[in-house]
Amino acid sequence: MDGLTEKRYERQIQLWGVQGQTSLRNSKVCLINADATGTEALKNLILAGVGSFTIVDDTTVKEVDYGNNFFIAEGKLDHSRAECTYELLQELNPEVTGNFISEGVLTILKTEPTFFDKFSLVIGANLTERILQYVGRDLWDKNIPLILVFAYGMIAYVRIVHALHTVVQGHVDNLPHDFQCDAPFPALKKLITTTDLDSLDSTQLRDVPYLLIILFYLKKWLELHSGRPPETRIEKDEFKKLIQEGGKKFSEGNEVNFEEAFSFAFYAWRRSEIPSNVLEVFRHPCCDSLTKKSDTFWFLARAVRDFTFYDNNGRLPLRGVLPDMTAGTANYSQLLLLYQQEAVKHASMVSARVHNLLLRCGLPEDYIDDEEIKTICENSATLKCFEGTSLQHEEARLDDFNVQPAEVFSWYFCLKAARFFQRRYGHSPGTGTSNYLGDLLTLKSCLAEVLNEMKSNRKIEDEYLIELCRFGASEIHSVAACASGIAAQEGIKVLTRQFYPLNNALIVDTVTGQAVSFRV
Amino acid sequence: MTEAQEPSQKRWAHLRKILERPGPFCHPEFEPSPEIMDFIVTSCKILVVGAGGLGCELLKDLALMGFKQIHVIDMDTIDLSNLNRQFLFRQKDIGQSKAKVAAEFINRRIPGCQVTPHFCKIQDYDEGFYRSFHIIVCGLDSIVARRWINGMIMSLLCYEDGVLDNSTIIPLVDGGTEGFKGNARVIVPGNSACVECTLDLYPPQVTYPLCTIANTPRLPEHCIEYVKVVMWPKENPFNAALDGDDTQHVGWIYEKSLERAAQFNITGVTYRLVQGVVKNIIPAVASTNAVIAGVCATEVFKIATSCCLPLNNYMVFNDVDGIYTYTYTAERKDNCVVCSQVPQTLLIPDATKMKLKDLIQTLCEDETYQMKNPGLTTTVGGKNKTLYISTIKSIEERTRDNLNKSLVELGLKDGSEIMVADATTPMTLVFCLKFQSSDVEMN
Repeated sequence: MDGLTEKRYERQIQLWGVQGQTSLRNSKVCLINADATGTEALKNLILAGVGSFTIVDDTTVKEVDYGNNFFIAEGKLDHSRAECTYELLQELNPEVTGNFISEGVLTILKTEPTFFDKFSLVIGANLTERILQYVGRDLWDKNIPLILVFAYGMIAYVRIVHALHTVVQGHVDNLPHDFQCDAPFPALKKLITTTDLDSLDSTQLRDVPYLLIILFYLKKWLELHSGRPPETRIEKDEFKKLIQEGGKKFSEGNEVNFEEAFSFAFYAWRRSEIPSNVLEVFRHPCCDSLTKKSDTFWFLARAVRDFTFYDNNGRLPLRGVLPDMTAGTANYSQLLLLYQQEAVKHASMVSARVHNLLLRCGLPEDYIDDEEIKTICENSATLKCFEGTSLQHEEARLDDFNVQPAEVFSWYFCLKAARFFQRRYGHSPGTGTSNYLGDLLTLKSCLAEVLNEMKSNRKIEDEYLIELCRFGASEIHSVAACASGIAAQEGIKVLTRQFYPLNNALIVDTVTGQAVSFRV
Repeated sequence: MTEAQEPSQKRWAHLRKILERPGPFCHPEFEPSPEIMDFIVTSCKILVVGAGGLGCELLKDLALMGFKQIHVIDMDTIDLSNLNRQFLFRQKDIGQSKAKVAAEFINRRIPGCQVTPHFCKIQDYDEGFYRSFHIIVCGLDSIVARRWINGMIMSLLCYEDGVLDNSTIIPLVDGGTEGFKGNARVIVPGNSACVECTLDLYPPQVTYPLCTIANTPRLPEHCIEYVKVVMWPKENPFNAALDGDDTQHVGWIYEKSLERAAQFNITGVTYRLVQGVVKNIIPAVASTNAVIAGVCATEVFKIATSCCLPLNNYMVFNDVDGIYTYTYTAERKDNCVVCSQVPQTLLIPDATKMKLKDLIQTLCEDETYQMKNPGLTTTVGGKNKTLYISTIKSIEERTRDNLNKSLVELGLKDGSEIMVADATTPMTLVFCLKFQSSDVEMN
């Protein structure tokens, strides 16, 4: 990446690193429907630096487009909307290549069924039910992520449709440290054995990092308790008291490192367990049956799994990082070095396994580079896989759960009813030439059918349906911009494979300024 | 009717459905009418504060919601690192005024829209300017600036016999973003919580303790911070203030940081890390700005048209892990320094011992006040007396000695009033001193 490019993306590289930015650059995005919602979503992805984009839209520019679409130049009535929006979106970022197709997506798929195969992400804006189902099925089978965005009056709806998504770098806040006090590796054990806090004077004592303090007192404890770490509430308090007493021995000014050891004492009895999200990955069938076609994620996950259970007594590879600890530089560096060196050992063992697995599947050793192996070793605790729900299998099982605020969640069913209505009658409720409330009763029966199909006994007040008719499928720019911002960010998560994505739907109600995310 | 003339009815068809049709979830006093759209398009005057990440989005959103009388104010110029999200700017615009380029872009793209740019600081304008707007919407990256605008709008309120004159209320919609996090709030002056009421929402920045940096560095960041904070001022290598965008400056910091790290056997100093520490880079992406601006613009629209009740009144947004949002009603503070009508008192435990510099320190460090560089004046014996002002060199030199004098020495008494001016507010705040030491009362 050259200097100018790095500078352009400086603020976002802070979030997802050069690796993430490169993933974006290597991706191809397709937008179906270049209305306000669609162009806003695409704009955010173009600004973020995706490699290329394709716009699919068979409509021509109408006067009403000028009222909400930022990417259509004046004087283009009746021109291809795909072409017009392409022109103004392209010039947002010279590093991105774009093109357009002024045809309907169903027409394209008829002559070119593999059309979508080349895309890393497809965005569908305000798609009709018919197109939704067709495209959804095609992409689902190919495991190409589809992000749907709807802006309908004052309500917005975002839905991620992706069969299986995997994440290595979850960037989870407040992840517990992997000190592994319950099973110190050999080099660490040696350091603990040669550490005698009792023989240090106060100046030396103040320089000891809290982790070493905890490990020292833990060793004492284990000797007195037949190798059992503190378990009961009383034992844990006793252990903490040991630390407290140790700190009081030389009472000259504040012993910050002992205070830290006291607050983090729980690491002494914390067991190095494998988080449930990681276990789910390890147990996934894709982790077992590796083939030449398997995604690199599964090779890496499998290597980490085998290392964990065969080489490391059920413990994940060490991250090789330590939080800052109030301590003397030399003491801290010494401790950090031990963890770093052990982590390097683990990484090389994982690496050997990766190479082995690749060869067994007829792939070259260098198919996966060291950088990726290093990344998964540093992030093994945040591995996660997300199984999606296809559009054909949406269920109202969340009816039984308490999705709050409930009044916002009701819009999900209402929007479905509106799409259902459109499919059957060829126009959205409230948009016909007659009085807009004339569609109310028909819409109500559509909603009843939708709820029935989803096996739901949810009660939705008439007010929602009256509002739906009132909205008349209007596409308000600020609502579209908000929803598309969310959709684009989910797109970036999918493309960079970093951060946990929305799993898998969201309703935004701009009337009350509330949103609710849920899983269908 | 051609497109070159006034926008036709059809153009705003989407918006008209919301404004010309009643509905059960509307504002209770909402009366649908074609005149509302006309008001938006012809008369409603909006001020957008900031033409950066949020500002660009806000301008676009407002223009496409029908607003034509828009002013935008921003003192910054365009930088290459803005282009990943500030989409009204191009490479050729680097170095130019954000407000001007943004305004030109919108006016060109949306015919009839009249965005007026102001390439200056918000403090360069007074009440006359701010009073002329129906609604003010902020997309700022500075808490100080936010507090200043908040103070300005609060100062426009008129109370007659303790009753607020509603015509002096200018609603403020405020948005903020940082990486994947953002928030949007609606402030109705005199009615809902203001920025100052909720100052505790803005925790102070975490800095590295000086003793760690100087004596026991452990992280590469400690090494870099040392070079930045200790070595640069001492050695003054380029005879200029440190500029994070100057590659020579950053290069120097990088070299020296490597040396210091080597001294302590610390690894991990990279050029990128140095940039991060030196420039204090706040991560920013287009999508978060789009979300928050979208919410803010919707609120502006709701307030201007009364089509719905506005957000009540604070929404938090975070899309690091899935999507997390939370909306709640931030509460007013009964004794808010800025928006309550309650006179402010400062309790002084021992006025014979407390020095002026201690009082100033309290005003800066106390959570309630969080001032930056307060200037203090008072009246002693009926005459105006400047206690200390740091922002004007000649006065600073003249009053510097006062810093080490006790409050009593300076002629202050129990019940004395001091007037405080600070960057965080356009108003002068009045504090009444209440002495607690009985010795002083006996005097």
